[in-house]
Amino acid sequence: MRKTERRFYFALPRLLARAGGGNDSAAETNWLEANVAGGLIHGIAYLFAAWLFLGGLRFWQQILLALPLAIFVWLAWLVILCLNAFLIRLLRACGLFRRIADDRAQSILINLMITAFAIQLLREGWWFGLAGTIWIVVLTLNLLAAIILAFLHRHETAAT
Amino acid sequence: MRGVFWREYLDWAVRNLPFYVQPILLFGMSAFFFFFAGSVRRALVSNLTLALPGSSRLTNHFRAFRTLLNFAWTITDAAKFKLTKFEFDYEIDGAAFLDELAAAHGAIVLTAHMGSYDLGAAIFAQKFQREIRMVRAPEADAETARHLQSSLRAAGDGAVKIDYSAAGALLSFDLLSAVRGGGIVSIQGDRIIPGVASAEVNLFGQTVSLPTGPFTLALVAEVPIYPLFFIRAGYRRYRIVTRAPIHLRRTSQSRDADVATGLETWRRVLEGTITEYWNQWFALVPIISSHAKN
Repeated sequence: MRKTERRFYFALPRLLARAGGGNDSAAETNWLEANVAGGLIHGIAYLFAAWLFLGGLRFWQQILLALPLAIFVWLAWLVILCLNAFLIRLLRACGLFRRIADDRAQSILINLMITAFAIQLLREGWWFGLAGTIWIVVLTLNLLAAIILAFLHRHETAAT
Repeated sequence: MRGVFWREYLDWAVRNLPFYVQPILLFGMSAFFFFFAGSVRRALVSNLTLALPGSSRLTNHFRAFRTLLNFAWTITDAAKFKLTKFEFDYEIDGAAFLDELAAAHGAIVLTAHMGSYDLGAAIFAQKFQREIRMVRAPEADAETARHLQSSLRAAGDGAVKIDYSAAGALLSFDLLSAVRGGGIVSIQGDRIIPGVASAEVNLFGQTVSLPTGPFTLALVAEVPIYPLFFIRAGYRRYRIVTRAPIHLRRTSQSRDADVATGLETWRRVLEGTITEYWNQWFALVPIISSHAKN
């Protein structure tokens, strides 16, 4: 019993599944996608906060503040997600985002924010730069996969 | 930590947030409640000490956190089903018993504070097109009770009706009439509340009180009792665990003796299920201090 739909958050795994002869229809029942994507997004946000707040501190101070910073970042997420919800309402009042569901609108804002963080991290040290690069590469591949899948679906629809 | 705010926030999050931010938010929420809802943490540790003898207190604290995390996921999944009608994957353990229950003309489902009983009732009602009357302990907060009631009504498309075990004798007659009329009544049989008929049994080597109401009802209405649990089996995946029905017969002994026979069978089922799925036993009050009379 599984709901299938053509709209999805992550096109890259769908395209890979299709290339492997599998089904590219998506469902939010994939533990790996939820945790890998969630972990990457929270990881970038955490690294950005670490760069912002712990950058000038000594190593032992950074270690000491690593856990409190994780709690702070988690609390900040709660606030940011609420602010995003207000922003979406505001954008809708201006005629934008009206045909997009709330969770997908949030997803767009979250990805914009994380991409901005990743771009900033690219300019910093090796580890920060690596994290930023991973995000940019994954995001680019995902967007490319979305374009390819959209093209393939349109082609299939036209053929039938 | 009480109040309807948390339930409403959860509904908001399920509606508004993409699924991939939920795992870490739920982890954080579980940690928050683990540290700040001290009475719940202590109750979980105490119950785990009972169910898993010989394990250290530190280990049971980790287990209590895991139980809370599972609890967070089950209420999130229930909210998702209610708000979006998301279709969860599930597997069935004891399919023959479940089919029997679905076809039964009058039956009692005996469950526990395990897994997602709210989601389970709604999915059962939807799958088998049967109405369920769910009897549960009253919520401490009136607004939370109202929220829960409307949630179950929405999730079960009106096929799940809630009654509260504190309602007294009138409810007993009402339930008797319902099962005699061919209906299904679901009751939680692992905890008692003051004023509810109970009897002492030996659970994990400790004397605890369990409700006798379901057994008296089964005896009077002459309907079977089906032990059923809706266990979280993974990410957005569940397992319906149905055990062999308990058939109570009137014997020449007293009614209490017949009820005790049924209660003993239930105790064995409950003990086995808790041992197997200890990380989903959401009895958030200590079963020993509140119920046991050592």
